Amino acid sequence: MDDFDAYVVTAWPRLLRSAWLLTGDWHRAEDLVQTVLARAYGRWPRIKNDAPDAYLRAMLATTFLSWWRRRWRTETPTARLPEPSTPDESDRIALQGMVREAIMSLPHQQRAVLMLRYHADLTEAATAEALGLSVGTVKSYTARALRTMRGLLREGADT
Amino acid sequence: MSDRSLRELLEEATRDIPADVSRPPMARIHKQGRWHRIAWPVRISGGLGAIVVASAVALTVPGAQPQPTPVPSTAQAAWSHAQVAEDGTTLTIYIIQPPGRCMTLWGPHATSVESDQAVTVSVTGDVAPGNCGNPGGEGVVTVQLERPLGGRILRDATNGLDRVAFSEVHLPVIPAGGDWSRVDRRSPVGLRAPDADPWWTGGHYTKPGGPDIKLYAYEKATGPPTLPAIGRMRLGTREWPLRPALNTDTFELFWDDGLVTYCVTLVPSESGRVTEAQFRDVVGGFAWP
Repeated sequence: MDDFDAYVVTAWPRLLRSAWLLTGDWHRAEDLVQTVLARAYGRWPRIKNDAPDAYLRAMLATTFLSWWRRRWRTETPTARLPEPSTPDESDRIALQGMVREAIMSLPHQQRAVLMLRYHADLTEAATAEALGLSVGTVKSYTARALRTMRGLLREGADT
Repeated sequence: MSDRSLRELLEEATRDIPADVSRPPMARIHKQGRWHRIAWPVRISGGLGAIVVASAVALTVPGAQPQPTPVPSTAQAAWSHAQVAEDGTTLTIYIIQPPGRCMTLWGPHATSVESDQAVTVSVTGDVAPGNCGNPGGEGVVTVQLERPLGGRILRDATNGLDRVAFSEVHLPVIPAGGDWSRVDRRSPVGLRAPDADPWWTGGHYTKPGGPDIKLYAYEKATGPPTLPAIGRMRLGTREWPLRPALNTDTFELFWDDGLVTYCVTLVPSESGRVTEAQFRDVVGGFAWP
């Protein structure tokens, strides 16, 4: 399974980023990616030639929703912003903080839809299939998520 | 907000990966991965003619199309989990088929072979190609044992794999006089979604003013992360760890039996929280097996 290990080393940062968009916490994101990769380990010969990133990101979303339904009914974003060192860096970190807060304010299913649509670049149909939703529901969640994020980012920019 | 700017914002939000999680924990992934390596064979019984061969092709080729006029043949089907009723002898067997394969199992029935160490359950039924749209689940079948399952190993005759049994025997009795009412039924969840954790709802009870009681169970190997224990509580004759829930507004008590971890948690009412004293008071009032 050398090719599995090679894939994991390369894909780890992008899968971790996708998982952060779901969990809002780097350590939970690490747990989530680790769990999904462990499940993928035994199926690797089957999935390695068929867009493994998309497959694993869909697994991230379904596993996250499964965990959340069981355990994580409310969440508090735990990301701490590092101290800014320069004015440019300060602006970037402020923007990063606003975006992170806006993402974490979304309901979990909307977050999963957003991650699959805009981070994993899945189509609406593929997102719907991965989450067991209708395409109409995916469209509706996407629109609501974008509306919420737009409002929060505008608020953040005004203050 | 354009699609492109949203993608850029998502990249920005996740740009700075902390150093302590920046490398994949390969050893842990391998170790956990070995637990998840599950075979999904569906064995077609021998001595079948050309029609059955056609069925078998449909079963083993991912993405194969359903045949227009399926002709059933007898087959042994794999299963994934069992639920043990309070009497300890009635098993509900959850049949499962590999994702991406196409088959329909008609009229499944289960038989068991019992020894002092193990109970081996065989599920058979009439199988026909088709039903590609329902990966991960084929239904349930019950089997009656001669004596309670107890601590015996439960095994699938199809593949010889040890299987997990979620048991009502290991759940506490919620006091009838406490205004609690049951709002769900016991059933496995996630078994029909091939990539979801299989877990089992052991009961959801509610009462006016809350908190609610939730009982659930999952395979030890697939459990979600937990926080460190803050104490212990006695359940029947043994003590088990009490942990804050990950969202910290309540607590969870875990106990193990074989391959399964059981858990009870109290769900606070809207925007409330459950204190440790309240948790101990409510959960301490249950009757434990």
